[in-house]
Amino acid sequence: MMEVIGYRVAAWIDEVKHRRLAVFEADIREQERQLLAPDPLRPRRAPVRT
Amino acid sequence: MATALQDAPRPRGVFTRGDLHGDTVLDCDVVVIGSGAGGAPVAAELAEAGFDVVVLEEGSYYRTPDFAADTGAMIRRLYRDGGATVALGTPHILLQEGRAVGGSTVINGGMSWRTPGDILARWRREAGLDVTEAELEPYFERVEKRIHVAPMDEAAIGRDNWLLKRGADAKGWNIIGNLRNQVHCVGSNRCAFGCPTGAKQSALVSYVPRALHFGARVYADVRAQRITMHGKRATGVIGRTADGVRVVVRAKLVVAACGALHTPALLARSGLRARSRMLGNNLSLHPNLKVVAIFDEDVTSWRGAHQAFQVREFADRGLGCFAAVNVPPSVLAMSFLQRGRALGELMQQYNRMVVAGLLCEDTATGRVRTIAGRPQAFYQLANRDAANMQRGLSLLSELLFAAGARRVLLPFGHAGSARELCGPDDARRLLDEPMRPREWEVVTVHLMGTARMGRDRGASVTDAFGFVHDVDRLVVADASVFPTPCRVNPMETIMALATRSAAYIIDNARRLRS
Repeated sequence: MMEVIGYRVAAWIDEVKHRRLAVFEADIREQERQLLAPDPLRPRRAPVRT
Repeated sequence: MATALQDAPRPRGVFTRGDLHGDTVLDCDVVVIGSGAGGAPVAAELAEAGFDVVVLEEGSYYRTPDFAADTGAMIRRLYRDGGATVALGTPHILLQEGRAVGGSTVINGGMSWRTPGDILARWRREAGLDVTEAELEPYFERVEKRIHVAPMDEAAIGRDNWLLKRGADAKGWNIIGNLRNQVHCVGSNRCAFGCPTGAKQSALVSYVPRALHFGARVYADVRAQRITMHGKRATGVIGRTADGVRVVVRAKLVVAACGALHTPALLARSGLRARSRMLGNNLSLHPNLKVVAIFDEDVTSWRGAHQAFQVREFADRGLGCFAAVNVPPSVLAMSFLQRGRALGELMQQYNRMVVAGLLCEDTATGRVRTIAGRPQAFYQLANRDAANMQRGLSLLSELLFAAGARRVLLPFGHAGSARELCGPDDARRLLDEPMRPREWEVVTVHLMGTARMGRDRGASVTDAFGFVHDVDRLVVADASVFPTPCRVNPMETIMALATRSAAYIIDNARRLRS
């Protein structure tokens, strides 16, 4: 039925997924790098020396 | 060329039912129940701040390659109750919630909007909350950076959305480009079934990896049964896998982030009763209705980004937005009243259809009650909201005719039969017809308000940072805390408030970790 109505979504997903990785790989990797980079919500306090 | 985070095997720190071979006891500083828009940011922020964090998630852990083209399989895996949860009322309203690591962010459309200023003003006025745009600014900024909120790449916008824009422009109505949490979305249009390209920065691929990176542990497939208490102090959680393995988490702080349906149920199962009697009450849900327009041209609306635009012309009059939303054929077919050959003939036109929906900023409130341990929502659509939605159907249909639609179908009964509009005059006449909301197919993906925050203990469940009144060490961090509906897609508001709660916890770490 999907073929009859022209809904070929699996092929579409494959196509755009590969296109995204081919064209935007640098930006994708940059986001992944930022996701794991330290960025504390509150500044870390220096240890108090006594 | 695979990307490291999304295609890699299950990361260290994620445990699933196969890893739990017998009753398990875990000790930690903070246990977070739920890994969606509320739980995941709290987990990541606290883990980075040095807290020992355990996350419990009822749903399973999936990777981007698991998100396939089989819509039915994705709904069964990723949606609570296979997407068939309802709020009882007239009409019944279909509720859709994610149930997976990443929560509903795995299946939402990725719309990322800050809480409107006038909504925050209402929260200040009605709930006594000190929440201003300026005060929330750093939290919104932080969330937007983390989940990469950005306008759509124009090349990814599909024909259905350009037609919506054409109609809005022809009517002279305000239409805006959507901001979404995505890195180069390429328009697979599968947001609602798990993004198969990894472009959507759901909690699954943003906050959860970050939480894991900073040492959090995520236990998937574990349903929280109840919060354990010692007197007035929350001390942890007891959960269970579907296989019956018991998981006991002992914690110094408990964060409930199960969503506005399950958080009040969890609190109720745990014996908690708000003095205000507001726990489970104040449910709002942004009811949605859709129409289907048929064009002469091929639209193939399944190619192109989900909701690239929103029509905001009537946002100040209770109609938050109109948007074009592709619905896969197997799901759309269930909406039509036609059956057999007639349905087959209608569906032959699928590639010329544009599905468009409207979102109502509701004025009614419903409630969640816990029956045999499970939540059940009750919600009665207000006459005022129903009238507004009928007006929305008329306006949205007018827009679609202005875009060139040949016909507009109301994919539900209307005055007892399937209804088809043939032109803008038909659309305008809808306004004068008797309303039959009981025949409408109303859907929601935005549940809010069932543990509302506020300054007055007699009228709210939590304080301004989500701490449950009269209970020590218990925080709610999800859309349950919204005092009123937020009019826009709620994900970013949930994340910002959760980040704000995390900041409060970090600021009070010495006390809360003791």
